[in-house]
Amino acid sequence: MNGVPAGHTAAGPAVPVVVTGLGTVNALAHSTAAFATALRAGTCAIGPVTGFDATGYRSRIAAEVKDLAIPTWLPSPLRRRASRSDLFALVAAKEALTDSRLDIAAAPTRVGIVLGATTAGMMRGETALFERIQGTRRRYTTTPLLGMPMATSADLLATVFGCEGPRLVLSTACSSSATALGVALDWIRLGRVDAVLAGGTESMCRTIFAGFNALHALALEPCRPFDRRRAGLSLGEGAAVLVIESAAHAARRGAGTHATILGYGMSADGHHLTAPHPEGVGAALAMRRALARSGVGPADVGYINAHGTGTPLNDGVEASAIRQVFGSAADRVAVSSTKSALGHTLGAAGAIEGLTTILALRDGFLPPTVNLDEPDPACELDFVPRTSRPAELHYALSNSYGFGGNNTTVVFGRA
Amino acid sequence: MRDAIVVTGVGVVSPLGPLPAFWSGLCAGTSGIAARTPQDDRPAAPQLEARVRDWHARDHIRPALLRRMDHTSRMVVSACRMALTDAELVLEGARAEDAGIVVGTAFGNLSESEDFLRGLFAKGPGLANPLTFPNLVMNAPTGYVAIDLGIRGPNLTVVRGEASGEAALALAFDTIAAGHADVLLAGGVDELTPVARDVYSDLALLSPGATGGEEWSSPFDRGRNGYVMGEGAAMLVLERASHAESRGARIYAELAGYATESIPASPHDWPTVAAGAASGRATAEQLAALGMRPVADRDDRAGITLVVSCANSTRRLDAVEAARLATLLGAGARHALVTSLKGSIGELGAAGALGAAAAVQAIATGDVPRLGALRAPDPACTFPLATRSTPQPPGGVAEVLLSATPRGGGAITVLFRRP
Repeated sequence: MNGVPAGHTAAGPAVPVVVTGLGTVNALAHSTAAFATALRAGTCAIGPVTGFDATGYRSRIAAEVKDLAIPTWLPSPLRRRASRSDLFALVAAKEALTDSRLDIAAAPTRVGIVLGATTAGMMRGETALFERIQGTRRRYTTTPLLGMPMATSADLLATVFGCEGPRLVLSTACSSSATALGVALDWIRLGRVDAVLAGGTESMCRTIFAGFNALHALALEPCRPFDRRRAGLSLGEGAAVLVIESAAHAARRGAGTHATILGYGMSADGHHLTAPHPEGVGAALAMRRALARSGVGPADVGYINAHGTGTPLNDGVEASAIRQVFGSAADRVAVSSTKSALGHTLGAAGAIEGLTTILALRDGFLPPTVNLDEPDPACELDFVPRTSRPAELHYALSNSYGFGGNNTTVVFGRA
Repeated sequence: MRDAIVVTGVGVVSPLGPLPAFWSGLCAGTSGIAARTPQDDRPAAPQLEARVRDWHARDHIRPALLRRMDHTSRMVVSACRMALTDAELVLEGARAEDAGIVVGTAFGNLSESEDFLRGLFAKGPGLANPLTFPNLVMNAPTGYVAIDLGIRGPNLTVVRGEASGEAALALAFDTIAAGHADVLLAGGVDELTPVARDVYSDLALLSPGATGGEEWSSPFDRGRNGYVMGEGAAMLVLERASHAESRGARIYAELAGYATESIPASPHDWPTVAAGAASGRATAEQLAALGMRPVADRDDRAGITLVVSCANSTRRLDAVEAARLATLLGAGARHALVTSLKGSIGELGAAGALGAAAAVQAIATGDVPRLGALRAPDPACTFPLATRSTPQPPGGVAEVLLSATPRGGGAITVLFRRP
């Protein structure tokens, strides 16, 4: 009975869990339907940076969210106070909730929130610092820094949508929101909640752009994951929020399901803070753990949404890890990187790519690796170059790896 | 029945020093608060802070790794090393493959983030420091722990404002319960930074605050006027009971579980006192399901003996906690001793990790942390406070609640129990 809230019995690991709501805002689209269309079309949203003055940076391109209006349903103090990251999360959550028709008010304590994020409202905080250095601001004041604590986005969702269940923000760099989907799954299986708003949010800031720029990790042209000439990543921004729910709860209320979520695996490289383990030990371990916990064999998997950043090191190591885990089945699995279309959205990447994987399963297609002209012969996998293809998929993985050498793989199944 | 989760080791970097000094200092009501080390161009007030002491990172971390690490990472890796030594646990082979870590932090490496941006704005992007940047991610400390110890299990960092330490323990509990690991290092870290000091000062949360008067930290005191900022890290070794027993480990306490409750609050502020008074019931129900016995029964030595509260010496939060604990403890409020560490170590986002270290030491030793600075208890406290003159509980410490109500209102309450 450990850790099981009052009136509920432990559900056990075999309890089926489904995804009943999808919502996203990213550089390609401001809704899931438009996003699915753009993915199938192989559109690339990476272009010149407009969010700040990128003069002096080696790379001056990114995949930015443009023309997103502040929604009219947002209560007025929040219209001013919500950071850009908060806003992305709110818009994505609203879409997911509308899609799922989940009635939170019916049992508010049974709906949790878990998000991944890495910089939250950093951009405004940076501006405050800049003004202080220039002398136009004598000391820090509260308002521009309100959005900086990463817990804020989750608190905003709880306030606006009335969720009273457990609330958590994970910040494990680029695997943050993949792990958030996994924690949602655990909460449901441990009986803590019936449903969870799970996802991630990230908005562009100078700290990240300057950091990757200084590490020479940013590509000068739109990133081309798994290409022989790949030369770095392109940054992006956005959010995705999923309504994850126990299948029994979804069935009781007659909800439609987009996909099932079967399990996830986590690992640490224990090797280096920014470089992946050269033999992909951590990446392979996360995939193996995810498959084992899901009861899915390599031969059952039709698609892997790769971490695929476009850096020379990551893509080679990830391809080799896939080979290690899948063996000969690797010849029959399609692998692609969504980052080629909407950049690396860091804390939001796991959620956006999880959503992409769900769309692939639900709609029966393989999202392409955009910009992939010359597949790296050293990688040797089907990377779905340039254009999407129809495919009947039963199970699919989404890989996410982060600074700090931490890795998460999530396993999804067709509904 | 599921395998219990137990605490077998504790490591602390704190304003009172490492574990033995930390614990004896807390029990004596000693304060680790001292004059602020002047080191920046910020406005003069506040004058006090609680800086970590009697800790040398080089005693715990090999030089090649130490050189690259920031202050928060150094505190976490040191605390992990001390916790493993305390637990007499060596993580090698299969044990390392499956062991993991969960750290909670409100702000992470905020000081180097500011330095990095200063460099960026002063010198331009071409000279931004590529060596600092990797240390700025919130999960740098957990990344370094994995590198230092070679552990390949879950590697998690959570951010939950003033409840970040409790949030890490809660996630660690679920991570073991869900079968992702048999051994986890769990705790938290936060550091003193000029940016945070400016912001909290601007929010009028720091002592002496807008009303002026003496600068001090005294949770639940009628004359409290704000908090003093602190820093530190604490890490606990959590194991499945069967794992701990199989290696003959000493068991400090059982981590029995946790409860969460959403108290209506602005995303940027603590709940109101009225909301605090109305809350506590849902937490009490969840804790009852974990076998918590709200009325301490001195005869059979069971029941809640001690509450380590997040009360931080601000007018608002302490009043919210007083109201919430009165509801939560119900009839048992007259028996459970309530305390807070903030008079000794100041306020930090991961204070809950140090609170957890204190909770398990209370169970293991039978003594309690005391409110050393307390002069006149707030009459709103309907429960006994652990003061300098409070004796050790005669029946020892059977169960401890660790209570956190962060801004935004997502309260977390963790239950520890005598094994």
